[in-house]
Amino acid sequence: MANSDCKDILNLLPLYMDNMLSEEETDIVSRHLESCESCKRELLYITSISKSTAALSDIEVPRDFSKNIIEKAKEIQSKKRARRIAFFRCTSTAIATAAVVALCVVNIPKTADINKNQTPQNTATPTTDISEIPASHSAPVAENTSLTPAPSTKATEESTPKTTKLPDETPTSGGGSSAFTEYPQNAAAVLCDEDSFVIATVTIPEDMRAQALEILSSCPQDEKGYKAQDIHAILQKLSELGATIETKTDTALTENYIIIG
Amino acid sequence: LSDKNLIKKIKSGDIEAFAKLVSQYEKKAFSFAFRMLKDSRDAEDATQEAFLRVYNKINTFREDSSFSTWFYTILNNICLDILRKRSRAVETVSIHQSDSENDEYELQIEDTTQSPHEKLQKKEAQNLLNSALSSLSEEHRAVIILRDINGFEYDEIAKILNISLGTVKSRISRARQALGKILENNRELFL
Repeated sequence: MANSDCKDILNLLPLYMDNMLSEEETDIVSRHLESCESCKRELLYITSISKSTAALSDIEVPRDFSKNIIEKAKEIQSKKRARRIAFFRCTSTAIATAAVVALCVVNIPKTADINKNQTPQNTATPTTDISEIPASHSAPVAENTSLTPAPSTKATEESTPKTTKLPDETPTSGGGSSAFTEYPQNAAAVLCDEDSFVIATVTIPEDMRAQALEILSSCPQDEKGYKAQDIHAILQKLSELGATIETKTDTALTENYIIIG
Repeated sequence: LSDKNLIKKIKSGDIEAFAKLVSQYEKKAFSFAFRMLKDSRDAEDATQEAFLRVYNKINTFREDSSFSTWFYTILNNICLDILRKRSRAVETVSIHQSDSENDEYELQIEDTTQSPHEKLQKKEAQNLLNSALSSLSEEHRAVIILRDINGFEYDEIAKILNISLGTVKSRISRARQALGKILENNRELFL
């Protein structure tokens, strides 16, 4: 190859040294180098620079660099836990209402029977499948049979249990922090808001789990999760299967929900 | 422990595993950030931010690429953000040190006329190289560091920088030629 080709060869050398040229280009460069001392020296030069660069010492990290990172990571972790615990302790939620509504609809005949004998506003909740559903939640549903959740209102009766319980219930947690710092292991699904904070857990009998997961996977969702308008239908389908839906937070309804199955 | 095992543990909430991951990556990561940003405090902030983003987002890491590729993608993006903010803040400086590929040749190394002693040659070469690297454009600097210092393959560099393989090739080619040109006056140190 003539000297006039050296310019082209020099442009190929940086990739030639990394074996990143095509077979044809590699062949051309190799043949040129056999007869061109100048390009051979250039190859040696840029290869040497590359090796020297690879041998450059790392820059010394500042003192306590990793320690500071770990401390910040721990802060993040404890904040997340604290928020989960705080949410868990709040028992009245819009989702609770939605879940209760859904369950009440499923159990309308029983609720209706109850209402025949008792004043709606002051109903002392009887012992039934839905014995722990407060009357204030069940009564409007019995009247409206609507799936539209009530507005997110703070509970006035903090002591009133809002947990919806069905047969085959498996309690998912108690009041202590250790039970809910992580998602309950026996939950078939966990309903979260967009920040991954648990809004409700769905526990389901073992033999029904496959069907429950099928329901979850068949319901429409986008990259942000399930839409608010679909959540109530999903919860209803799950409760029809015999699910226990236990709410965790008092957060307002968010636009999108994530269900971790 | 391998990255894969550490990631698995971190996903399950093991903070000690995260500490190990940090210790495995901190030197190279900080060095990358320092060489990109040319400022120790900014490099510290960028590297710390990258690690904390990794910690926060570890559950979104799907492991269809290596952890190091994912990590350096995050770190490089943070560095680019800092550089962009800087260039917006100091417009007059950016005019003289623009990203134009030819401008880097204007930034020659200072005082290279004196011959170094034999025993100092290696150190001298390292200093010259560090200076030469810092005078490269950001784009060229990034590919040289990722390829020659961190040892990434071309396709991994393409992922980290979010550019095509062809662009990686042309950038590496030009960056190496640029380095060669900058160090021309000290060629004997590299032969």
